[in-house]
Amino acid sequence: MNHKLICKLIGNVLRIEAVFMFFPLIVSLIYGEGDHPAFLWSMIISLVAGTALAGFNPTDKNFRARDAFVVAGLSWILLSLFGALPFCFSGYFDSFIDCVFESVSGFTTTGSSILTDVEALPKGILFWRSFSHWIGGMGVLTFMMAVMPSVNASSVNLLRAESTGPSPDKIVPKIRETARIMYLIYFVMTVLLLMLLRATGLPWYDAFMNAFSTAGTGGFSHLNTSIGGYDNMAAEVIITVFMFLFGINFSLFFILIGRKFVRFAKNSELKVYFGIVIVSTLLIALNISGLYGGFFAALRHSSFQVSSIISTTGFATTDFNLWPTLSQSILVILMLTGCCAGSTGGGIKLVRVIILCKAAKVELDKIFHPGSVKAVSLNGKKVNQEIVLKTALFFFLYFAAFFVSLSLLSIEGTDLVSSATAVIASLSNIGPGLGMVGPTGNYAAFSSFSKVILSFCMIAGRLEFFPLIVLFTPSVWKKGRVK
Amino acid sequence: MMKVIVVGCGKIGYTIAKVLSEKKGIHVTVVDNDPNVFDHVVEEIDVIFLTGNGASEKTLIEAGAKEADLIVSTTDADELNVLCCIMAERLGTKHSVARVRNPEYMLEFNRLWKDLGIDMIINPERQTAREISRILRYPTAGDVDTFIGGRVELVSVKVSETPEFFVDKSVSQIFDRNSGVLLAVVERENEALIPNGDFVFQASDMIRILGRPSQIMRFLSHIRKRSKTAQEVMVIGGGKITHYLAELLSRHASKTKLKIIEKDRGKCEALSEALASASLERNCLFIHGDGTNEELLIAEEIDQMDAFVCLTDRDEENVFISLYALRRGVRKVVTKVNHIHQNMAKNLGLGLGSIITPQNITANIVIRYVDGLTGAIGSNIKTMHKIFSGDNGNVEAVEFQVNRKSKCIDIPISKLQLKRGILIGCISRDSEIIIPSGDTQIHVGDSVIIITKNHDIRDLDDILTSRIDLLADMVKHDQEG
Repeated sequence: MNHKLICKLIGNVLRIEAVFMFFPLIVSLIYGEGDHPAFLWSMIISLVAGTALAGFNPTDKNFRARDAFVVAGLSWILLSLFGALPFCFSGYFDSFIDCVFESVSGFTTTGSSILTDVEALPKGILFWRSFSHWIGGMGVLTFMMAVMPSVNASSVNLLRAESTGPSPDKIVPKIRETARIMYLIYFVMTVLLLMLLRATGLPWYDAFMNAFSTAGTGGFSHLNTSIGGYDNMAAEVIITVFMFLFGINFSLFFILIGRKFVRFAKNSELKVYFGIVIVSTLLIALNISGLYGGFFAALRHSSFQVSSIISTTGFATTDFNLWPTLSQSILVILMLTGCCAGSTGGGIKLVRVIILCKAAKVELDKIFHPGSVKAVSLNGKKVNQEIVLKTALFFFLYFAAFFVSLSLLSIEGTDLVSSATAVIASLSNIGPGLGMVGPTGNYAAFSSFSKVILSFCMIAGRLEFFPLIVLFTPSVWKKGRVK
Repeated sequence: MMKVIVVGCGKIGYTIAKVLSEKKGIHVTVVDNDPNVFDHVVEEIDVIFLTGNGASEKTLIEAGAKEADLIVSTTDADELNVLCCIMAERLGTKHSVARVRNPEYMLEFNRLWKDLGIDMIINPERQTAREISRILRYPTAGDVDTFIGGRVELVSVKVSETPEFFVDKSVSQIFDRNSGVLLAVVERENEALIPNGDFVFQASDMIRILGRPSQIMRFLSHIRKRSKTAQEVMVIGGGKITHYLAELLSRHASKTKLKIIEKDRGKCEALSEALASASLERNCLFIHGDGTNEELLIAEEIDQMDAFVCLTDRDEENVFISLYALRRGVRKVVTKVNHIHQNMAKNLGLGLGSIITPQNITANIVIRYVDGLTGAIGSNIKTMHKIFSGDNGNVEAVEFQVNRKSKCIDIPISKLQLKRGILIGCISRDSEIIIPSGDTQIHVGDSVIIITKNHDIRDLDDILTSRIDLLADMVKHDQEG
């Protein structure tokens, strides 16, 4: 274990966070609601802690996969803890656990809140909440790689630890430029969304908040009624489209920029993503048309909700707690699958579902034709057996985490639907679930213990389990590591 | 930005990809048909990996052959490499380098390769043989690093071999203007020093001198009156390198006799026949036997050899036999190391004389070619050699091409504010090689060799003290005063 390098990197993460806190500080100064000391103090604390850690000077600049996992796990935990400081200092939250929950929910782009009356909070705090979605969406380690000078080939492990999907990889040969291009695409799309939202008549502040929440596929809203509160058809359509877009693998946008349209259109994950969204939207629209008095009114809500759930954003225009069971089950399935790998969204990721479906077919073929030899292939390329195995392992880990967390959550006796969907919504970084945690509800009623469990679920889901598992494996911290 | 495709991720492909990818502004894509080779190297080199046959159109297009600047094909198969290059060039790649190893193909004229669209042929075995021949031709030299296309060499010499010439004398006594060479580095007790004129030599020192090959030869023969080029050389292993070595030596050092020991009878006979057909066998003696057999080595008079070259396919065998030869008192021992990392072999402290790694030699040639492509003017590094790495820091020799923007030009060297531990080694201007004195000036277009200790010099201007350094020095000076 390269302790010095790990400390240095985490120190840099905290310093970057301190710099990011500058933006809500400005917002709080503009609106003058008295929350700026919270940011000042948080900035100072993060900066001091970060600088102290970044002072380590590692002799060995290389780090292995395990170091990268530890860095990813630790930096996300610390990022959330330090990110909770402004909430803590603002005095609007009941306990530190609540602050941490809110902060974790922000950085992991979950968007589940323990606040019952969001609108009571000062604008600076709300800005930080939404802005944390934007930071967490593409990832702070990726950001660090884009701006830090000391990036070498072994940094690919960091990129892998933080990006989502079964085999995240570089889009250009240099890792640093890959990180830069990813952030550039992210940035440009966010600005585009911001401008479009502004054009629909949203005030600047609201446009910023919703752009951040949508881009990170987070789902925090500064209105109690979420997007539904605007009753602005144009804004809804734009957000629907952009939620969908931010759920696409960012490397596909790069392919698009390179004008390789055929390769873009032939991507199996994209096709499946598109197909699922269309089919689910139509099914739900038919199913709920009675509730909204007509197919097209229903279509408006179903398309928004499908896009919001599959991209794991979690915005709401309507309370889907009141929808029929069929619609609700479709939404729960979408919560599990999530969107595409390499996007800012969460969930299991469609590409994993595709790989396992194909692997299952290959295995089934072997029952009919015992001698048959066929490889799992994706986009015209063979998928390594190892990746198939890792994908299956991911499935197992997801459901193992689900069942363990559900059992722990059920101790306090919340109903099964609420508990189960709360866990799924946390693991998949969505936000709202069903029942008590539905679009109009929130997580305030859970005990502190449950909030801690759910916070871990959110980080585990965002980092796709392995970094946290490595972090909490005792042998990683021992010298020698025979076992 | 420059786009390079490297086909084949073997030892040579890997080394080339690694060194190129560490340079700024070069994007490397590595193609190999075996996806498993990537698993081990993905953390080590910052490139994109692509699985596929490098000669297939589909793979080449995916690797970006249409807009690539250079393709380097380094697979095991000569024919495949040539095919890769031709295909890529037809698709739009601007330059191509193919690895071709078969001695039979090497007889063809360069023009034929050019007609096929291949800009450069790299032949690791031949380049290695060239390196060995260089080492053998120098009387006492250990390591040889080459600069400016081979026109300047950095050669290591052990003081203990001619103590009467060095010990207790100062640098300025030995290396005056007439010597024609420059003392670059002294290694003493696991530390490397950049000496000044008052430096006094000790018997345990190892020195490195920089200069034109002919001047170095002259200097070396001057310090060792009886010195001469190695005449009796024992070579263990009869592979392609041996073939090329025999060929080169018969041309450049016709008095040198080779005693070649090869374990495999068939290979031994084939080599003998191949050299005979090129009428190069006159100075060679082929012996079928095992190089690890002590009896055989003694019977073949290992003690009488001027030099000993170990070229079997197995690194550990090479290292062992070399150590044995050193123990038997052979002055000059050359060891080929393929798999073991060169630094590891050097850092072992076994006292091996010259360690050569074919992939590094080959990679250096490709890198020099790439440097040529990236534009001759532009103050970028042309070549860089790590000379010494120890507990107390590293010494590097770096060759720069001087551009217009540099702050060092047209100023007498004695007026330049150089950082500590920086030495301006050689200046190459047109066809001239200059060993600089205080009033020498650097001009635009020159190649300059900088010897540096513990500095990360990436631009020629990095050798100058910045204002901050100056300030620190002044403060220090004040405190001391």
